[in-house]
Amino acid sequence: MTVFKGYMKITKSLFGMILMYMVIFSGVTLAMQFTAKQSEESSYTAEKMDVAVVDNDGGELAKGLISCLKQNHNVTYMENNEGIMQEALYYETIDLIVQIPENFEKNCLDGSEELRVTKVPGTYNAIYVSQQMNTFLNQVRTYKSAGYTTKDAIERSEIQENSEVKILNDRGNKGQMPSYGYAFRYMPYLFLTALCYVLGLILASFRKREVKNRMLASAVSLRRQNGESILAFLVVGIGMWIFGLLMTLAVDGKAFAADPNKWYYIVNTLMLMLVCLAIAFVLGLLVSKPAIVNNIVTPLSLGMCFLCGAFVQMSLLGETVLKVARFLPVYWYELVNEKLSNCVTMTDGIRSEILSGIGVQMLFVVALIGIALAISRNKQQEA
Amino acid sequence: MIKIENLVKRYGELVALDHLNLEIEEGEIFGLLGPNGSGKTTAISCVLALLKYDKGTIEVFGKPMAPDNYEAKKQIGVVLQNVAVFDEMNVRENIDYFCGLYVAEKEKRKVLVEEAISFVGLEDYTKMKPKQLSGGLLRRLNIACGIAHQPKLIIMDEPTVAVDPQSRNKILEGIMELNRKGATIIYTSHYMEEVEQICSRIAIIDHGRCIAQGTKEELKSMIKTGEKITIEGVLLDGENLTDIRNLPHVFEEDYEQQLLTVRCSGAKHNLVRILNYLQDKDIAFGRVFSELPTLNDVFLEITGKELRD
Repeated sequence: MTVFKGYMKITKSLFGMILMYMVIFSGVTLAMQFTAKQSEESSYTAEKMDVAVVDNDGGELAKGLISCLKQNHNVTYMENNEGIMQEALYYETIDLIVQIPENFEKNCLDGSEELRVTKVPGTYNAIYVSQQMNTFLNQVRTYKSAGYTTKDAIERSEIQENSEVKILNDRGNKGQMPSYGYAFRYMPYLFLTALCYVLGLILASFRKREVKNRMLASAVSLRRQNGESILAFLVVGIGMWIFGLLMTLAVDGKAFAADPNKWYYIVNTLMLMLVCLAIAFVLGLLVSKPAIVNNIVTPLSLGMCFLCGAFVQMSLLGETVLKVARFLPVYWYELVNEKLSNCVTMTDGIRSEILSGIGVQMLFVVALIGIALAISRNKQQEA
Repeated sequence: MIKIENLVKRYGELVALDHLNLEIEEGEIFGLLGPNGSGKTTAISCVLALLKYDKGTIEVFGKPMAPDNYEAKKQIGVVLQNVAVFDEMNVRENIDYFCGLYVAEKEKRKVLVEEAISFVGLEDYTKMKPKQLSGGLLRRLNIACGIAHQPKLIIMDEPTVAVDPQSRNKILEGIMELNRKGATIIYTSHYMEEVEQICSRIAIIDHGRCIAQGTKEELKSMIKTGEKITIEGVLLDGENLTDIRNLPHVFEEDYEQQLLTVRCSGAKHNLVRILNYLQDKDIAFGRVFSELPTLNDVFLEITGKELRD
């Protein structure tokens, strides 16, 4: 196992670099998870609006309406003075003004006169207040036509309970991407940079013409050398893969363990790791100078991550970009990842899409190995 | 130990080896001498089965050499022209790694590695990385990596290129020591002095062909020049020159700006005879040099060009 040990020794000497990429990956993942958590907390919060009421009626229905508004908004009274009203709207001390006309009960219920609602120009929230008031008045109108007194109709309309909305939250992420989803999303960056760079450098060392010749002249068969090289590649790759999964567990292990789709995540990352290993192998065959490895790996990893939705959400990417990205393996990884993150219940359709994505990655692995073999054969023929 | 017959290697139109024939016996230091591009490294690469060749046969230890002849490869050590070590490993790790390609047992290897380190004198540098070593030390590391497994046959391709004289002497002494311990060595170089100093038999290669082969004495006896005598600050006339030319064993003389150069065949007392003549004629002279023929003279006479052209 001399060749294998040689790979491991060189890997060990590059450990500082591997650690650097791990720290970058962990930092980005944790930062994104923290940001996502904050935005999650601010989601779905009901807002109260500042509503000013000019009550020109003072009747029973007007009071009922005001009481209804008070349930959901901050209500203040305002005198019927156009200047004051304009000033309040201009300085946005209130969001809208509701003017209740005289003979409100009589005129509004038979529909001959409507409430006057004046809002700050350019805001849309007032629509919801108008809808709430209309709902209330319609209910009163319905009860009245059924023979109820105004007082009873108001009381019954006011006690209408809000309909209960149950958010399906099977995986505890309130319909958002689970926190560990970020770790999975950024994993291509870790795998591409660390694996391609580290393995690219190692292969470059082994592919130096003199070293290669000395090894070819040695007593270890070429087949054994290749076998041990592949084993070393797999060990480094699996090491990196395990680190990625541990990072995910560190982010939110409990939630991940409870995720019914966790095995799909694991298989998807395993496939990505194999893709990255294959890319690293091709790269190592093509490049024999360490400086060039760096020049290739940086744009390759960043480019793929940006184009394929690792750094920027797929939904924000243009159609053309996504069309191009389809030719890159990371796109299929991210596609599967996104499906898994958004999926609440695994249907046959979603499962089929996920398996297709994983299958395409597998095809990339096969294609890249084919390219590597062709390059290898070509290089041998050069001799 | 090695038998090369009619070896032909072509790179497109270029014929790198042109029906090369060589036979190397066990226990000798065999020198392959030739100018840069003469085909020495190509020949070595073919022997090591690193290169496919177009025609001919190569036998090593009595068996045809092939990429999968691992029995033969086990007994061969290689010291290539350029330093072949890993920059990421230190001196000991490098030697251990390359020794490990031949010796699997850890304990045995440990002893061999220590012996190799001591043999090349790198005891004080074992933890240093190759980039921290000087050119000479790096060459020694390169040699240690090739010989640590104590092979029967060591192939050294210009191991002293770009090495300071001190390190070069150390390397040459080491090669002779390896030979005394029983290793057969093939040594390629374009430095004739080195080849003359350490090799028991020499093959001179040019344009991929072996143009002469034998011991250094045999090679030198192949040429006309036995001794070159140079006398400075001497005043001669035409008659004197004719007399000198007529002296026994003199076959060529040249006189220019008071500098006399006389070429004689390989007989004894040539210098004494010339100096006696000058003394008899009462001709004054300055410094006198007598040079025996070198391998460069052999090369020059056979090919019509200098070895380093």
